[in-house]
Amino acid sequence: MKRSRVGEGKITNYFYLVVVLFLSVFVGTSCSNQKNSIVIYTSMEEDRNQALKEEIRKKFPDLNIKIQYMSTGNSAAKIKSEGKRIEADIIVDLENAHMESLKENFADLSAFDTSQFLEDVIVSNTYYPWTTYALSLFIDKKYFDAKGWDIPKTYEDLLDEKYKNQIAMPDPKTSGTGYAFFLNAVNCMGEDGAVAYFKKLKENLREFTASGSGPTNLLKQGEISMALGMISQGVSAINEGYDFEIISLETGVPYNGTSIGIISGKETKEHVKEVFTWLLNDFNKFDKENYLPSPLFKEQTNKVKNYPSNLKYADMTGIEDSKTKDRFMKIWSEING
Amino acid sequence: MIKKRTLVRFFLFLFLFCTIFYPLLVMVCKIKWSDFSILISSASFRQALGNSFLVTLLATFFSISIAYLLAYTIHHTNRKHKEILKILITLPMLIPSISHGLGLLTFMGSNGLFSKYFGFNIVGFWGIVIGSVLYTFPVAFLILSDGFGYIDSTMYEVCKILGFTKWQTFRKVTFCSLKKALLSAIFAVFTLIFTDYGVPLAVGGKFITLPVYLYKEVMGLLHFSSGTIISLFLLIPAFFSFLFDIFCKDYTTTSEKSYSPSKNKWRDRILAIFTYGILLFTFLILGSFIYYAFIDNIILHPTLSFDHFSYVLDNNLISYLCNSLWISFLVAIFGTILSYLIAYFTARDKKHKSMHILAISSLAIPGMVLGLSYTISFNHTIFYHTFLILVLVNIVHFMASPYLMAYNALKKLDPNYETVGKVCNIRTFYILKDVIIPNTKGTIREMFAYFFVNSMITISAVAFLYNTRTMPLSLLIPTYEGNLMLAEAAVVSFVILLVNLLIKGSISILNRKERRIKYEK
Amino acid sequence: MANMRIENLTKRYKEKVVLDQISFTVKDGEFLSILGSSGCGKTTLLRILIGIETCDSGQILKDGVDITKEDTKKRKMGMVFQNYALFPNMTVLQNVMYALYIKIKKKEEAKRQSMDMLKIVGMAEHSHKYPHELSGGQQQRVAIARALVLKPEVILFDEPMSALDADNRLVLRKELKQIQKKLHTTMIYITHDQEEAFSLSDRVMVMHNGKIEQIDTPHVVFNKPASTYVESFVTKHLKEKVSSIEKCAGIDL
Repeated sequence: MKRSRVGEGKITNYFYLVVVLFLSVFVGTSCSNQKNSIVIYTSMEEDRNQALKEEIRKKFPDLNIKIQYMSTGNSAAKIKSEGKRIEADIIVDLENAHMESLKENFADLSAFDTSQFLEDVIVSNTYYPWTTYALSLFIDKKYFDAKGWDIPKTYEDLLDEKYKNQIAMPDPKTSGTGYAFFLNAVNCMGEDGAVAYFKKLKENLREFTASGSGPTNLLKQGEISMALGMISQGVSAINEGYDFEIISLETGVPYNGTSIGIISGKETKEHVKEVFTWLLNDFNKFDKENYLPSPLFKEQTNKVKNYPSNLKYADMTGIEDSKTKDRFMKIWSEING
Repeated sequence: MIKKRTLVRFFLFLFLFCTIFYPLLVMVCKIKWSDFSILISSASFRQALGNSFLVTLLATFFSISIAYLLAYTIHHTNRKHKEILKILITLPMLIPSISHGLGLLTFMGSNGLFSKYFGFNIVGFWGIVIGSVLYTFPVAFLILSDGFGYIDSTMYEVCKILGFTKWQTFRKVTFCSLKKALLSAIFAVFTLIFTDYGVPLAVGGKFITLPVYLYKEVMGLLHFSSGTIISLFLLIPAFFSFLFDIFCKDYTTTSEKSYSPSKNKWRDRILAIFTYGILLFTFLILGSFIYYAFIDNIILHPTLSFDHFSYVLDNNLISYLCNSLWISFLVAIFGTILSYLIAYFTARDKKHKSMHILAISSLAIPGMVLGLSYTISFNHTIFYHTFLILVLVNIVHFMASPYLMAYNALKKLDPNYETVGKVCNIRTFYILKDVIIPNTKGTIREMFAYFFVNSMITISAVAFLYNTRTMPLSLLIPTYEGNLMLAEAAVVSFVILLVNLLIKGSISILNRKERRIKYEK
Repeated sequence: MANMRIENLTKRYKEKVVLDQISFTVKDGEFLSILGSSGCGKTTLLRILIGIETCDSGQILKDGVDITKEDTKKRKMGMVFQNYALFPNMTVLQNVMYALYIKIKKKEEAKRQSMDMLKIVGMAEHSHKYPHELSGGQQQRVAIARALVLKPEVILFDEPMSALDADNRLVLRKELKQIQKKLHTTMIYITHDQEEAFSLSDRVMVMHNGKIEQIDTPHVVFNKPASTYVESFVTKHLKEKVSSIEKCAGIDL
């Protein structure tokens, strides 16, 4: 009798031991990892993230740096819900409106050297500029030629019945690109006009993609023949060999901006300042010169082939303001929710 | 020993309460009720709600019909190779729903491998319906197949003797006996489709459904409060199905005699064509998706290439795979232990209705809602950034089915084992270890496989809870899908499929071997 | 072996009185059958005696000691079930020695004692087989061996032969009687089969609606039924059986 009781006691003890070990392994691995690694959230497209991974490996071969792609919305949601406890140390390519509304979670960056930047581009000391990306309409030239269609020149042209299911645009709810198009339309047509317009455009749309690069990728897939997206992506597709054409709309080129920042409290973490300085100046420039030409630096050359020059920018009043975004998103919910 | 039992029971009950009800409660408490009226008044929310119901009703109808005919073919016709057919029919359960959607896109999108020759495009309403059917008919098939196994075959002989027509026999025997299984399947499928966001995200186009609406509210606009309110709507069909499960009476009896189908060549031929047709369609969809993984660029240079594999490998495929394996093994081990223990108390001890209800209540909670509730309730706790929360959410999310498997198996065992133990002065612990567990080994293995496979493919529950260190492999699929990198998404789906095939396959082989040994003895 | 005294045992399930002031004794080494139709309360009585159910009032005394509130394992009683309840994943030998091994912790000794018991029930050559390889009668013998190997003072039988066919029942009855004579263990045997009760027991206790109708030797119960129920359920039934055998075989018994 005693023996079986002891035997059973032993088994229970082992069980508790296993549970304790298990919990400590879980908690332990995450804690220790946190101290040794630097986590960067990036909302850039895959090819730019790839470049970032390669360059950072070359520059900091001894550091354990984790680069995690996170869509703008996802990134912002995590910052909002986790605040300064978020695992990320540096946030790259987050839409400016989000940066502004979440700024209490970001560290003061005044100590960093910004002498390389152009005069007016720095507008805040909690986030520094990463891109100003221009947007446009692209068409599948091969498809248009085969159909014998004329090239659209205005937003209104896109409402033509023959384009049914041929167009895609990013969802303003989840993508800064989509939001930029919407804001521009409101600035051009007024709130009521824009709502009426998008309700009609919806008929011709294949979908509102979650990410900004969605429409361009659908275009590359051959799923649609017209995409509203980032000029840099359209150009990159053309350089890959796709038979696309960039269309300048009469109302001008809409644009939006993204920024880079450090999560408050993480600036004192080992190596974060180093990495951030390199990102802010060196990789930032590399990215602008090779992928997304936007005028940020004093000395900057454009190495992207076929990138259109002399772009006429559209009316983007309010693009940086988070309150405007909230208001416009309420209006947007009448169109598509 | 009695005290220990009470302690164990209490711990289990507490665990269930803290992991199921507490997070939901916290989530509901944080709702801003003003958001409720804003949401209801929004035309697009109402449209999303209506769309969800429409798509789900139609897809459920097709899914159940197909599953019924397949189950009928397996049990009531003279087909050969039934075991293989059964395995093939359940294969689609080994990959995430979003992969089915993407497969449909590659096969029947505007530029799909099949549709481009016929000039049509499945994206939108029909895409969601077909995609939803693809990933739910195996689930319905399993439930109905199980139901067919419980029909008392002597009833058919009775009907023959009494001179009933085929239709009368169907009504009075087949349909009546299958009622519970049929309703179970309908509710399960309805809930699955209503709460899924993988398929609509991949192939829904601009046809918005409720889960996608929720995803965009939370991930796009950071509206956690309206996200929670939408979650309440998502709970509705699940809640009804769960109520049904509790209150529905089971009129089936077990029959020792197995059913021998009558000879009917035409019936067999037609159903065979139907079965092979469904399987062909399913595998064409899957196949065209996997095909993308091996092609360099479908549009520009459609040549064989492993570049997409090397791309994903370079981008930490192995470490994400390790994360998934680690999580899935832990979920399988601890999930099996927990649900088995809970089932032991509820099946062999008649005073635990409340634990039974709690255990199966996770059926009612969609993954997305569970994940969101954990994000809101636990994001200030120490285990939020660890594997523990992912393991926990998966165990809770998938607990109901393995629990029911264990419950049914334990109920079938002779109820007197514990009495024998009491009379012979053997502690319940030893009876459990030496008698109960060895006689339910097959079920335990199935439970393990269920937890493992579903942890590998789940996306919805973990979408809000992962971070860089703990990110499971399955989450790479929506990431790649967002960038429309279909080939890379296909690579990841392919890897998940292989792992699941390995685990599910080994367990099925083990179980079959054991069954054969038993019969040979 | 032990004697038992049951005093004023009462059990109610909601409104229904299942056992109504049951009082009786069981002598040392006696074979007592409790006979009654379904629903008369005999199984409930058995479960209360073994300790897996509690009574509302009354006393159970074993060898003068009050065991009414005692835990099952402390009552030193054995039980044989209707459906045998053998452990399907263990061989015959393992089934019998399992509880004994846990008790004495000596494998060889437990094995020896178990084989001895299997010899007594006539199942020694089947010791390596699994329950599903045995017939009903063989399984029940193993169940009896399992109960006996722990040397209980009283063994309770819960309709152990209802699942067997007529031939098997006859053979097992004979063997059970021989085992009882050999080991002198007190046995309380529940059945609804009048023949069984009468052929096995030293005394028969007839129950009806939770009450004891009569408790006496088979001879007395058969010839002097104490109530109309006993007469119709027992005496009449047995007499009819005898006369039908006479008619079929054409002989006068």
